[in-house]
Amino acid sequence: MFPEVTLTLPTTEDIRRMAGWLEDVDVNSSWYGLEEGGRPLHIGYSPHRIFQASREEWRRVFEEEDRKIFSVYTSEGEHIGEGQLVIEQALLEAQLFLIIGRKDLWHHHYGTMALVMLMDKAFETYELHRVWADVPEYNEHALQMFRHLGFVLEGHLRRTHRKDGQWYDSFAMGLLTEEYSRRRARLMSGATG
Amino acid sequence: MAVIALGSQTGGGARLIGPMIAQKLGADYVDRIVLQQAARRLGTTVGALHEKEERRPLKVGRFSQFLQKVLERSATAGGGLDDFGSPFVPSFLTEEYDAASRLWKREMVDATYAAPYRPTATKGHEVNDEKYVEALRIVMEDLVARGNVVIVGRGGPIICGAAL
Repeated sequence: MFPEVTLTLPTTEDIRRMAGWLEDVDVNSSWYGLEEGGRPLHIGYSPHRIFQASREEWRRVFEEEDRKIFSVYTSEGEHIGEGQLVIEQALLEAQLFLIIGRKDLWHHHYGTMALVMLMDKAFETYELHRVWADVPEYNEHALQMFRHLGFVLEGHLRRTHRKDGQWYDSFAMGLLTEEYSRRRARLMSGATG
Repeated sequence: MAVIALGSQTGGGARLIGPMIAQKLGADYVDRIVLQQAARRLGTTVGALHEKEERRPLKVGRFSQFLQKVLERSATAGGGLDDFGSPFVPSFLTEEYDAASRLWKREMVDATYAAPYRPTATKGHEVNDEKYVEALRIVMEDLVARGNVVIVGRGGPIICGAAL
């Protein structure tokens, strides 16, 4: 059985929690590491700096049309992570990002279910045709999760991820809408069976 | 700077050995991601190009002949079939990586091609065969010029052979 998760619009409290999770070395080292000043890096915005931003800047980040940011919640109402879809309308596709900040919940399928919810958003709500992720080589678990969900290896590019002063390779993993509908049905029948 | 192009006939194992060869050589491995760039040039989607490939005539000889013909025509025209308007670079290899956001710089992508806001073709049959091959040629020739790459499928052996 997979756990239930939901996606909601982030609140200021959610962003504060994100900032806290990213301080954890286990979390930030599997994500994008630290910037030169020692602050953890994040995608699309800085959870540490966004509180100093103007109301307009805040809105620009969280209401951007081509970047959808969601908080991931359990069915018990606990905030556990964040997902993002960076949409490229010209190709009807999105690059996907997912972080489960609650590391005590890693390897309990919360990531898998959050990914399913994000793909439902991408393919059903936004009617996109492809979703892809750029998975750094050091994140083996993420790679496994994407494979499990049927993502196809579309390319392996050398030295595209910089983390903590070092360059790493990355795997471009992609999924088309028709591939997803087949895969989702199989995955969910396994989850409930 | 090795360039290796593998054919991808069903059951041929190219997708199995391709990544292994790339790893051994320390080269990039390029499979379906090549369609992302071709799709940008054509104003279509990766899904449409993928569908087009799936519907391709199964006779490999016919596809090869077709590719050859388009490439020859392109060569006699001085490689001038590029009617997509703007200078082009495959963004997944060349665009600067934004250290702060770890995202491809959108503005740089926008500056390098003149894709419409929404794709004009979303089905495989809506994509012109010759333009499709031409877009693949341009993307692959750029990969060849950079070297150190293993390319799988999509007429790579023929296109890269012609480019070398």
